[in-house]
Amino acid sequence: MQNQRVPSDAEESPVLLLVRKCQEGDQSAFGDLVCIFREKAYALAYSYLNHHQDAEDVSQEAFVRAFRKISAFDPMVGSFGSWLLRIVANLSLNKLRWKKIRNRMTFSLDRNINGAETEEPMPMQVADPSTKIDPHKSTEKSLENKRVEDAMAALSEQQRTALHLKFVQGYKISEVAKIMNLAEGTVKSHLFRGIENLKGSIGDLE
Amino acid sequence: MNCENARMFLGMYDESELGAAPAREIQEHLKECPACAKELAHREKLLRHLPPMPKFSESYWESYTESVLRRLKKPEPLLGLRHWRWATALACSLLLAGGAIFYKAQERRQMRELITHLELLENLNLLEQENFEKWVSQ
Repeated sequence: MQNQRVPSDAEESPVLLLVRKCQEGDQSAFGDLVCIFREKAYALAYSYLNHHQDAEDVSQEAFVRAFRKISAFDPMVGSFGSWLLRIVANLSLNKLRWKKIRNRMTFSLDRNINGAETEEPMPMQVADPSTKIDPHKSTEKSLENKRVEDAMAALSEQQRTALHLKFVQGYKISEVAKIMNLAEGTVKSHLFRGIENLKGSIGDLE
Repeated sequence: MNCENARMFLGMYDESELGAAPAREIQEHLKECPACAKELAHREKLLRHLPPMPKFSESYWESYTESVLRRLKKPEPLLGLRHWRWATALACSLLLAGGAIFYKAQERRQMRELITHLELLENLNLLEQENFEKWVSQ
């Protein structure tokens, strides 16, 4: 499990220097900021959207918006990382809303033509070449993973995102609350209900 | 600690988040309660199967950064979605106001024409009356 953290103010002095340069219009400094935060931004968008292409698009758009609004960023209010991740979270929620509207509008048409919407593959995903795969175990495992994946997709977006941030990305509950702009108690409740719903729809894993 | 309380926490928190004392209480409860121990094992197994984050090569991240920097060079759209909503509302209000002004102006013009007609008729009437009086006096 990857253990990522929202950078605190103390860790951010090099980041703040880069932010100051960006506020003076230095695009190359912003390139460095992108390098620092790109994985976190992508991961957060992926937690919400569960789709590679959308997560890539939304996280890149968040960087563009951050650059355009960087003069409005005040380091006294919070860290740059938290500010950027809030932009990612807001854009991801907007994207989800648009997807829902689009799905509702095309639902009847899709149902008549070819059933459910097909997900795009993730062409950039890199397999770890060092792992040797036993075909039987691998099939069993992939079936289990598929069941969990389907059950995750059926959760509410808040439950799925909270579970992903906490248990896949390794954030602490206080950090999840900060990223999702929710109270810690609400996050705990989403986690608890998310696990209960997963258990309900999957049952026992082999 | 009873089972109901323990299950609120099982597998959900690190010891650092939970605090040493509650973590110890849960551990003690797990030793005595096989049902909760089984529940913990089930949750841990479930959470291990959560779909992992996709992993990408360094070259992917380089092209990601380049793509962001390319997007920065594109001109900023004049109006964002929120601004479009305001712009549409403003355009509709202007259209309505314009329509109302046009309608009123049209109404006033028609009224003015009517008044002119009435004045003409009145003048004609006066003239006829004058002519009649002249004719009587003759």
